[in-house]
Amino acid sequence: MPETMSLRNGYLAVSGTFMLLGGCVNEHAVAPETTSAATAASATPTSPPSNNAGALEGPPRPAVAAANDDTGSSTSPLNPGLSPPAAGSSPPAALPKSSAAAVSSKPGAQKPAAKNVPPPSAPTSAREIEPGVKSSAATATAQVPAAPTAAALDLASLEQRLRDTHAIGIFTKLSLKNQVDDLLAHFKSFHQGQVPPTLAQLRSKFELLLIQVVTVLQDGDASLATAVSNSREALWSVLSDPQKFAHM
Amino acid sequence: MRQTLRILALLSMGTLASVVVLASDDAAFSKDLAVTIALQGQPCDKVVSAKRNSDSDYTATCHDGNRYHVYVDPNGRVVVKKL
Repeated sequence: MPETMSLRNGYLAVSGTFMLLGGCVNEHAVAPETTSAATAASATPTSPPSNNAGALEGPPRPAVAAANDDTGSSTSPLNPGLSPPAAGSSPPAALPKSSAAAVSSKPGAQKPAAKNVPPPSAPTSAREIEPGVKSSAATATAQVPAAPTAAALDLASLEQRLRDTHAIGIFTKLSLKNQVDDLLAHFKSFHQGQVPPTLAQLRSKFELLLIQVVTVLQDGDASLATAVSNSREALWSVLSDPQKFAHM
Repeated sequence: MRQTLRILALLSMGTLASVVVLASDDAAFSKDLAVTIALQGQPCDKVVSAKRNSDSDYTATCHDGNRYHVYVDPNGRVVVKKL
């Protein structure tokens, strides 16, 4: 009799342990996602794990589906402005917020998210981003604030950095300077009304020269190469505009 | 005896360091010449030797056998002429 009691107690203890372990395993599977979502959104109120698990497992699917439906319409006007290298580059930390804002601005996307997620500050943004599906929409939304920074051009510092860099030798620098002077002379004649160098021809020459500079720099001074490459459009806007060119 | 050995060791290290520096300078200059030749639209994968003729005036021999006269003309332009 005491043996059967001890056996029963043993079974109870073992089953209880398994139940506990099962609970721990389930909780452990959910926990990283909650933490990643929390770190990505940088502020999530801690709620009981069971509620969080339900909230995190439930809503993203419809939210993603809604976002997928929305990306076609919301990103279509932005897509022509996207350049492939910019889309390939990793978006900044503000990306999830903007994508979340883009998603939450749609009434269709708000419904499932609002049903299950308690905080209205859209903490599910990190989870809503699925690779390949949302990346174009996310970069499209992140691209809009990045444009003014690319337009900012410090011509003097760029020139000084090119002079000071040790990534290219004297002959190469002099050779590039000759080419820059030639291109500037062509722009000058273009702005004076001479037809032979058309704007398209000047653009191709400008692109070629920029590629040469970046190619020469990229091994020895990658940051300067990036700076030159990022200044492409700003440089072109200065060169192609007669007034800006005259003040250069 | 020990001091002499130390001095010899220091001298040899100094010589080695200067040789390394000169070699790296040489390599950098060869690369500079190769890039300059390429920028002028001439084929040259690698400059294997460069002979200095005068200030800013060199004769470069490329790995593929091509030889170029690279110099700066009085107007400050880099000129590359195939020899």
